[in-house]
Amino acid sequence: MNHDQVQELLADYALNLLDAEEAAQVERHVQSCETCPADLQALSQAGAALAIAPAPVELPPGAEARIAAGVRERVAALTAASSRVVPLGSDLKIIRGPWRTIAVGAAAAALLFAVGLTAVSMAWLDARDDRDRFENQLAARAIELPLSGQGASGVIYVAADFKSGVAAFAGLAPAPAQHHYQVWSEGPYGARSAADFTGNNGTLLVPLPELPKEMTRMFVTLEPDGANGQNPLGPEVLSTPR
Amino acid sequence: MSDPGSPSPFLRFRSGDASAFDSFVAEYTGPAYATAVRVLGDPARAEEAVQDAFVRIWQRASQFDPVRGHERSWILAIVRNQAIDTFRKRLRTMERSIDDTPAVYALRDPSDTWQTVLDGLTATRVREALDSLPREQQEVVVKAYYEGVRPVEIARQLNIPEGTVRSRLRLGLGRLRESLGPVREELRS
Repeated sequence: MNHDQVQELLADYALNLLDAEEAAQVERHVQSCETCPADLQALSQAGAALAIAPAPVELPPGAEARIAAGVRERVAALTAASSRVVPLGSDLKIIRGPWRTIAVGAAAAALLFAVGLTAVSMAWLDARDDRDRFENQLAARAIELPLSGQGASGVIYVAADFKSGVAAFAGLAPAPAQHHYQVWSEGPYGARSAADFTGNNGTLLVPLPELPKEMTRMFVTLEPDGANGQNPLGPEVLSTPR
Repeated sequence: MSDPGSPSPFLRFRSGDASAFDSFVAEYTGPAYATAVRVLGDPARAEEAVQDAFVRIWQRASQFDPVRGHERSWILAIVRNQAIDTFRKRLRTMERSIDDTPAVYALRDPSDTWQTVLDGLTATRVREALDSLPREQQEVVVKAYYEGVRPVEIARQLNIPEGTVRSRLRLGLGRLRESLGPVREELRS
């Protein structure tokens, strides 16, 4: 992004109207530009003032208590969820092999599912937001992402450094003929394939490669064999919470 | 409100005093709700957005730097951003979300005296400054800030060139900032 392009977007940036990728490009330029910082400062000062401008309004009856209770409940859930970070790697024996032929170690499956499949989507967001802290403090641990869908469930554990992961599935029927399941991550970059497999009648572990740190969701689709793997074509069968 | 001179509940929470979080929520529920209603225009959704924003603040309080940011502005900007995100998701008009923390935070000049200016500003004063803008600039500023509409979409809505929208937005923001400037001079004197 050159100077003129950044100048075009400075007001958008100052008012938080850009997505993360655009904002990062603006920031890179501003940090090395002689004139943009002053322009941006003036615009952001106006934006900061606008933040405090809304006129007071009367809260609906009970709203204050509802908001306080709702926040307390969610913060408590987050606190509990953050304690659910579990060790990954040392005790799990994931058999890496050709996709669709991954065997399940009974002990590993038991260990995984002993952790449970409780919804901890906010734990994921929290971990992503505080990634640096997690990387520093919880090295060699994993982030738990529950998967849910009709008739099946699963969980994905992502190493704190995002360099590896494992997906575990239960109740996912074998893929129909000429179809397979595909695991995707999703984020500002769109959807990106992480792995594919055929499924079976029991539990199944699928090792995952390095995942994008900016991802915000993972999901599983049923894809026709021969699909290009660039974009999901089939229906979603499992997803982490949106 | 916290006692003048003593750390606010938010700053106490940010410093590790978890017990201050409830006080922070109580202090900011009214202003946060006003912000969310301004964006969403829907009381029920505004309550949801306020809850979302407070949870995000709970997660991100450590990112706030009093040297670079103004507490009230930072908090209410998060509420505004959360409300806009809620609005966009409801309409499903955009796939990508905006970041929920205020932009330019990392780039802000620590020596910027605007934090002091903000301390001296009231919501009424800012609204008066906004109201004093030429109508066409005010319209664009309001759509961009309080509705989270990007200039390209404003141009489509108003059926005017995008360049015109961008020009009005920058002029409006510049004039708004300048009209609030005297407060800084008063504080200096």
